[in-house]
Amino acid sequence: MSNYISNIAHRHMLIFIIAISIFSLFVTFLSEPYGNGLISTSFVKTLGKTVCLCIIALAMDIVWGYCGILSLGHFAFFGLGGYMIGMWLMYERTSIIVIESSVSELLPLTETELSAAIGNQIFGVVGGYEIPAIWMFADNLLIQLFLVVAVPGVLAFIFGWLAFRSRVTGVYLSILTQAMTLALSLYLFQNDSGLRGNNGLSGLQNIPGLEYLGQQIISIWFFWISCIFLLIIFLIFYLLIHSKFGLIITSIRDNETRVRFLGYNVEIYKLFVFVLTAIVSSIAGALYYPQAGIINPAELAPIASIYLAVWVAIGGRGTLYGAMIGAATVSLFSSWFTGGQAPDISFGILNIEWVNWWTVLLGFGFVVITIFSENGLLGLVKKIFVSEK
Amino acid sequence: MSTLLKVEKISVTFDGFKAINNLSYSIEKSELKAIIGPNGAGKTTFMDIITGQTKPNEGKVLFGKREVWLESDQKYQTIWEENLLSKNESQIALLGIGRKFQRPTVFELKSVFENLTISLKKNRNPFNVLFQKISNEEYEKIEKILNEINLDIEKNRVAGELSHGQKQWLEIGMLLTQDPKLLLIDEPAAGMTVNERKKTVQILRKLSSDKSVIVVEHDMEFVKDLECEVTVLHEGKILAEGSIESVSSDKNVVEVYLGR
Repeated sequence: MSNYISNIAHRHMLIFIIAISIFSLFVTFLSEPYGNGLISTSFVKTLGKTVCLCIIALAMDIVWGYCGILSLGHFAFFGLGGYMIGMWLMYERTSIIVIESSVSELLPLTETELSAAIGNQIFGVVGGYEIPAIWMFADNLLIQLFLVVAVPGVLAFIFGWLAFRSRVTGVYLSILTQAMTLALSLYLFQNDSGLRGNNGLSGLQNIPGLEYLGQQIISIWFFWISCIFLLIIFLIFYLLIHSKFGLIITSIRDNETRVRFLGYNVEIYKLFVFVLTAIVSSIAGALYYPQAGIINPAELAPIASIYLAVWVAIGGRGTLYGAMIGAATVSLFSSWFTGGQAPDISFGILNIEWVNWWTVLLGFGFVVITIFSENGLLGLVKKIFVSEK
Repeated sequence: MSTLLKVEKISVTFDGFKAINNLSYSIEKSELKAIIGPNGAGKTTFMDIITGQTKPNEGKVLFGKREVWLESDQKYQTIWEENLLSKNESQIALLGIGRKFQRPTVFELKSVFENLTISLKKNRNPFNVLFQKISNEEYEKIEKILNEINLDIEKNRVAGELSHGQKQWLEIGMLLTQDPKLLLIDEPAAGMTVNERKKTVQILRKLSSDKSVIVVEHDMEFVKDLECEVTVLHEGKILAEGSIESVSSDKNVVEVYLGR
């Protein structure tokens, strides 16, 4: 990209390409459909979802770790991505089911009957049968994929433009992003939002037209696609931060005023970074929810975006690697502890059930890591590694 | 000579307090001028106004005078290229007004060289910046500036490791890579050793050979070494103007500096 990038940086990119290739091959050869079956299909899904969380953690690291904007709203974009792809998945699959079940009838369904049947199937749960206007492109995969990029992109642009233009910074900006997330989540909870209210969209794991493959194969395919996206986005971000652009945004993080007085339009740079990372978050969400199978407004709750910041802080911000380590570690531990697999500990009167105590452990871990290493887990590893030498 | 910057009758009030009161000021091309005054005289506010950080309640700030021959009237007409009050900080910086802050503000985590590349005079559009490279001429330009600010051997050091005085120089260097027409230097000598002060005087005097420089200081000795016209500010107004000798013997100035 430019002579701002060093040879060491090129080596880092190569290492990452090799690492992600080995990891995905390793999982493939231990999976049920393509290997010896040591890794169950549900765990393949967990890994695939974790890879998606790594992608959004990368986005969070760029916007916060590199550009200094503590956005507590990026999970809203993640959720929006999920909704956009979920609309197509749900509509297409419902329409296939409706058409299949109508085969036995004497007359083929008319356009209106078909639409009413699909509407009833999808929106019956919120007491409707009409397909809302926002679903007008739901039968077109390409348009919905475009919306995965466009909807969060436009939302982030409008929000960012208003916020940055008014020079809202620091904790005030964080609060605004939380407000945006909360507003979006509350809106989606409404039954008349057109997205099935608190029921959300479900059955997303069934990919229309690919049902014959079975979940075993689909899960590993999604895992691969997620890995490919992680790789591409990592490389793009890596080149970005090692370009002059990276130099400018880290300078904005360190001293916004100085950059402004050097003639840079700081707001445009922030807006660029905010929109770019929102789009990446949305793509991550669009990959995540078909593997999760269901999305509802609770996914967009403000707390989710705070967790995102916690992952990046625990892993170590401003390094890209740290964000991924943080996201993977915390989310895997989280699903282990809250999944009921972790053995409960009993201290006589006090019985620690991890389902409830996990957040306590996470908070404790967060405090401990921040005390011992300001650069998170990655910083801790580096510290130990360097001191042993 | 032609005027580069003209400030006309500006006033600023903060919550009823008149920080700048009906102040007029101007500087010619390639001129070195100093502004002194006790704390609270309005020196920094004055710089804030020129650089767009504070908007005055009244007055005009004009930049880049040009004489244009009018065929119809058969005479020269004065045109000011820019009205600074309608521009924001980054636009004003791009016109060629560089500002050094009171406290040295450099990018501490980056190398001296990187600090200087950030301010290179180039397209500042983010889409263009994505693909920018450093050309050979720019390498040479940075080397030349490193030499001027006495930091050539510190090129690859992290800016945060530099001494206080060196940071001041680096900040001046950052202003230089963007080819400014006017430099506003706020307290360059603060926290410098005697030796560093001497070098700073040399740097500033050399700069004024092809750029206009306004130095704000409250250290009389340093200003004396600059050998330039001095303006004394007090309570947002000009108290005295002239050479350092005439200013320092002025009755009002003596009273402000020594009295009370």
